[in-house]
Amino acid sequence: MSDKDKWLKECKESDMQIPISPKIDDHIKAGIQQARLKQTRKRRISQIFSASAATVMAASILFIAGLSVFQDQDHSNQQGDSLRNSDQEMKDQPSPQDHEAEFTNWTEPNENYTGFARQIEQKETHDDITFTVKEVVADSNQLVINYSIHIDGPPVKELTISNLNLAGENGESPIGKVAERKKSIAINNESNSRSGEMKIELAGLSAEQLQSSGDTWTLELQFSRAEQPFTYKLPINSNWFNSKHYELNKVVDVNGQKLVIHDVILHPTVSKVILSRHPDNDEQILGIHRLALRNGEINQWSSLEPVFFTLDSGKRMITLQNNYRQVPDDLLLSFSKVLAVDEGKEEIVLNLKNEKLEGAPDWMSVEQVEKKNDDYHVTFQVRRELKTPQFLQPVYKTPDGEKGSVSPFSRRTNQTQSNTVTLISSVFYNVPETNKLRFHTQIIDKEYNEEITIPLTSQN
Amino acid sequence: MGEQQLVKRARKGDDEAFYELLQTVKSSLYRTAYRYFGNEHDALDAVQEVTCKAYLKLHNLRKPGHFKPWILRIMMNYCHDEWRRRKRTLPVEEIFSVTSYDEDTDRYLILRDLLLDLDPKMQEIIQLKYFEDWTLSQIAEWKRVPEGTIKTRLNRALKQLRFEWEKGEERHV
Repeated sequence: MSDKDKWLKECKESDMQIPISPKIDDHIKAGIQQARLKQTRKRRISQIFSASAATVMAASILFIAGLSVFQDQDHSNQQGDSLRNSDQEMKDQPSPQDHEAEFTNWTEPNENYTGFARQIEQKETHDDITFTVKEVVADSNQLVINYSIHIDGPPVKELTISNLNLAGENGESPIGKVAERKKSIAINNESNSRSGEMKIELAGLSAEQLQSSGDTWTLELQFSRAEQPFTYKLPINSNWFNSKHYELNKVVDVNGQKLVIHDVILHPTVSKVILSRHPDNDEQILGIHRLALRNGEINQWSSLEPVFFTLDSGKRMITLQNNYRQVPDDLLLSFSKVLAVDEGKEEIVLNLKNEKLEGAPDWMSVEQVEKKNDDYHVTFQVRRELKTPQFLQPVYKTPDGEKGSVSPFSRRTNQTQSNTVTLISSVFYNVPETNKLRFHTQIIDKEYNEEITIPLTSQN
Repeated sequence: MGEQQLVKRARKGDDEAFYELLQTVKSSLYRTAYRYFGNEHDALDAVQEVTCKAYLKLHNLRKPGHFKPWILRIMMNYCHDEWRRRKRTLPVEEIFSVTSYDEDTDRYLILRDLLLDLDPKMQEIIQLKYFEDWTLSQIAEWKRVPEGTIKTRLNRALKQLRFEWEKGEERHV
């Protein structure tokens, strides 16, 4: 088997490890729904055209026969039917007031809800934009809005949100912001439409404060393309701000290194796992793979895409995104791999005076340090012998408390015959004038594979 | 119920049959999209768009037994176009913000870069051969060309992939 074959087969094997998102079925259904709407729209247009053509033909014949007046009535009747039909459709769409049903607890099914999400269908059109809020769910972390958007007219690539306001019933704005990168909505060029999920961070208020904002919040959206703002009344369920708390205090041993799982806290849109490393450990745990809450044996209800993090001696909270369209029954907390490095090797220091690294492994060096305006531009070189042609991503972070941001802007990889990977990362550090830069490295020396599953049973 | 029957029912407007069909290919669709975009949100968006396209174009499928490669081709074309579009339009900070720093993402970025630089026809053959475990004769039947032609295209694709790999140092600067 050639190297290429082997590499592609290994890629496939890694590929199979990608967890399939629990939301996939919802997106398939949404895709089918989207297609149906397009078909209906197409059919209506063709019906209108065929009706018009038939009418014109009939009109011509009737006009010749001197009976054109009936044709006009017929035509107006058809138009009337068409208008009545669309009016009926609008009436069929539930208004927010129709949704007065109770959502008393997390496990009680309710037709107005899919899982935790409240189904609404509020449509508003200004200029050429139609924005529909289809579903809403919130908790003390965020407000999530599922929407669809359509633009009439020439193809559009992107729509910018120029302003967004959210206010509670008392008129005050408890409430947060859309993450910067979500401030524009990419539009499907072909259909000029998009369905999506908008997350609005709530500004660190307690559950009680959010509950006191009333059960109808007002969302105001301003698109740079439209003159008028779009306003929606969002039905808010105060139960969303309650949470479930599992106090576990469970010690998990993975190859002699211990993790303490303290608590699991469930909210409708996110779950939080609070954990720490055990003080007896002689290795620093740098990450956990495939941390997830599973609903039953198979379905992931809540998960984190593979990520590394630093687990220092204190407690650490890991936030997982939930599939809020499901209400989980039995929950299992699981993870599959622990990543570690020897104690004391998790931090390296770059001395900017002599451009040397202190505490770095011998396969890592600094190639170049440049000061450009207020930024340091640092190029690292990492040389490692790897058994399989996987790729190593060094990660550099300024430790907590130090000002600075990290933005790798380029990478170079070179695979030689001996399977040694040289990887060069260039990093901008926007930091105050200083002699030394400290980094937490996330270069993993040790990997322990073990499937850990913890059933959640005790409940407060 | 077999794939062919599901396709026939779906063509007659049976949405449940179409949904069932999607159940048989959803993992491949999602993983293909994930390879391109490296995150759950965009992969799900891609699945939704491709579901919609496939639903509307199902009557174009020549052989009901070839639903999987047909929809995978739609997915690859969608990802290819979307990725090119984003490369042109994304602001710099957004490119940075989607780069989360972990081994897996990095591997996907590089794999994606290597595969994306191939002609889509070559990508398709690599996808079917290596990620869907198709034999050359199956691919040849689907593409309606002799097996030898597929073999030649596959070799060319692999040669080009290696070529891209070897000049990786220049490409990633």
